[in-house]
Amino acid sequence: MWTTLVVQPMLNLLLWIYSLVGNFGVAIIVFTILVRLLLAPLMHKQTKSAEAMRKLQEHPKWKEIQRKYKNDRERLAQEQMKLYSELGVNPFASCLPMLVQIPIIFGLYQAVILALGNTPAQLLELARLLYPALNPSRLIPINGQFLWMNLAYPERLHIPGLPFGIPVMAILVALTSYIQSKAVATTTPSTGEGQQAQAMNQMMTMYMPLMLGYFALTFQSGLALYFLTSNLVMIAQYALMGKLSWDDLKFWRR
Amino acid sequence: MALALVVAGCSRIAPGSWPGVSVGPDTVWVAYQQQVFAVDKATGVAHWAFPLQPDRKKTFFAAPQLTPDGQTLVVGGYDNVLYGLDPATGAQKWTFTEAQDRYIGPVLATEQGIYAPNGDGTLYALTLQGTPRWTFTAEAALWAPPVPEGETLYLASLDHHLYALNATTGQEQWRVNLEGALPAAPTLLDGVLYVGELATEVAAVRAADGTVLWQTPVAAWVWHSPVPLGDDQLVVGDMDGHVYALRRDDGGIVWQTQVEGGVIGAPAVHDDTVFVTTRAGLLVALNASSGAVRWQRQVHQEATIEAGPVVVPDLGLLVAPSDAGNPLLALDFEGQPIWSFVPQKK
Repeated sequence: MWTTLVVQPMLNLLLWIYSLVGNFGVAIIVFTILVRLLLAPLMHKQTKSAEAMRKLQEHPKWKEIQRKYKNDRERLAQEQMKLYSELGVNPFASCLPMLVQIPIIFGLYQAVILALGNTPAQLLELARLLYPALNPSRLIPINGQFLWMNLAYPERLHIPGLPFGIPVMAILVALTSYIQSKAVATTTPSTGEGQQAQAMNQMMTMYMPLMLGYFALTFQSGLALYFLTSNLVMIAQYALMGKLSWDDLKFWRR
Repeated sequence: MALALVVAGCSRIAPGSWPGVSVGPDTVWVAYQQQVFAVDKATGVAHWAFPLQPDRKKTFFAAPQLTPDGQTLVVGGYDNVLYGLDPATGAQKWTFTEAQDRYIGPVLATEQGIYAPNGDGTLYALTLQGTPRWTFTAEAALWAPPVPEGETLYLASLDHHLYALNATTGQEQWRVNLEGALPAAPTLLDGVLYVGELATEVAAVRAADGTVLWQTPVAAWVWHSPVPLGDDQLVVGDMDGHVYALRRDDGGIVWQTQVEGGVIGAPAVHDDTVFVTTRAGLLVALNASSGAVRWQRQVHQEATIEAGPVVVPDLGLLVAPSDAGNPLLALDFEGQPIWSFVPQKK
């Protein structure tokens, strides 16, 4: 079911783009931009919802219930929910784009591995999943070379004279994830309680880039290319919406 | 998102293949998953395993090959390493570590040396002691060993090309684009190379100059080398389970039949019977003259069979199911079991 509904269409879309552009790296980039364009309305909604949340947290009633029920968590939550519905704010709306991304990332991970199948068993599986309209037998094998990377393997840039490879993609993914998380953190207020939620946000801003950087380090570089493109497009989207401030990106700022 | 990635990471698609089997005078070698086994041909009992215990860092699927002097068994791994083993004990004699990718297909071992095709697209020519001699690089992965004739090697590549190389220098003599990936070695008969393509075709190419003599369309991908049938025919199976007998001179279809499950491995011919294994776990015996099904046996209830059957004249057939606890079975020519090799687990 998962394969038929998510992985197979994604795989065939990727390979259809590949058949047009002739380069799997470019196909991943085009695919990612398409996904981001599809998610753009959700992202817009998320930003609007975040603004509404910020306004709500400055509302006198919000401050009042925070003060009044600071020792009664259950009641505080009830009153918060009441206020959300009174003012028409959905506290979970800002999570939606993130949730929508999960099956895409999961599916893309499998689609990239399948498309770049470099073992007989993977190629057999690929053959099973390709739509006949793609004329798959002429497409095989997929060329996984993009710039200095083989997209089927974790990426390292080997410079003559250096005894080790530099994980350029992992560094770029971590860096752009940091910028993107920071932008999200500054536009998305915490839905939880005061300082604790703030601390959680800060932790996410620090750890998510590290985690994604680690994934980019260890997984296929095709996936790292998706992360990087996705981050860059999101950063551009935030910048276009005027939500990105270079001052906010300074990690030493609290 | 992090959770999704962790789950994705844990659900990596197995980078597998199917057992690689080769036969010596008294021994059968099978490369499967973390080990290579030497199995007694008469009894199915293991003589040795390499490495002694399964090693997660090593994976083997390419059929091991004995050098003509009988001194070394050569097998490539998914760890990009080519191993030279002592055929009597399984002890490691040498390694060759310059390849950049996995060894999917078996090597060719001749008196001149070893020719090792690699997933990095390079054919590595080595001495019998594992010392590099020359390399030839194609445009995509090499999954099949070259076929020798005199001073020439014929090499099939996933890059859609069939190459002729000088065996001493690796110099390219000619190449021909067949418009489809070539996962298996060509079959050389009377100066003609016959090759199966993933572009749903079987092709015949003149070995002298690379001229395409004919290309016969079939229903689905052909994964294996065409197998000689009598003096003037070939037999091939495709991924949708069609089996064809083709005339060697013009590629015309003599007969065609359908079996349950796809045919991936090369059929085997014994007397007047063609044996095929299928992804439905079946061993099917076909009448070589008509293609009619004589009998079929469910070799394994759950496992698929991608490797083709191997005829061992003084024994019967060797069948190697994938993802099964017993990766090697010996059956008689009626499909009745003789022995089953089960690797010992520690």
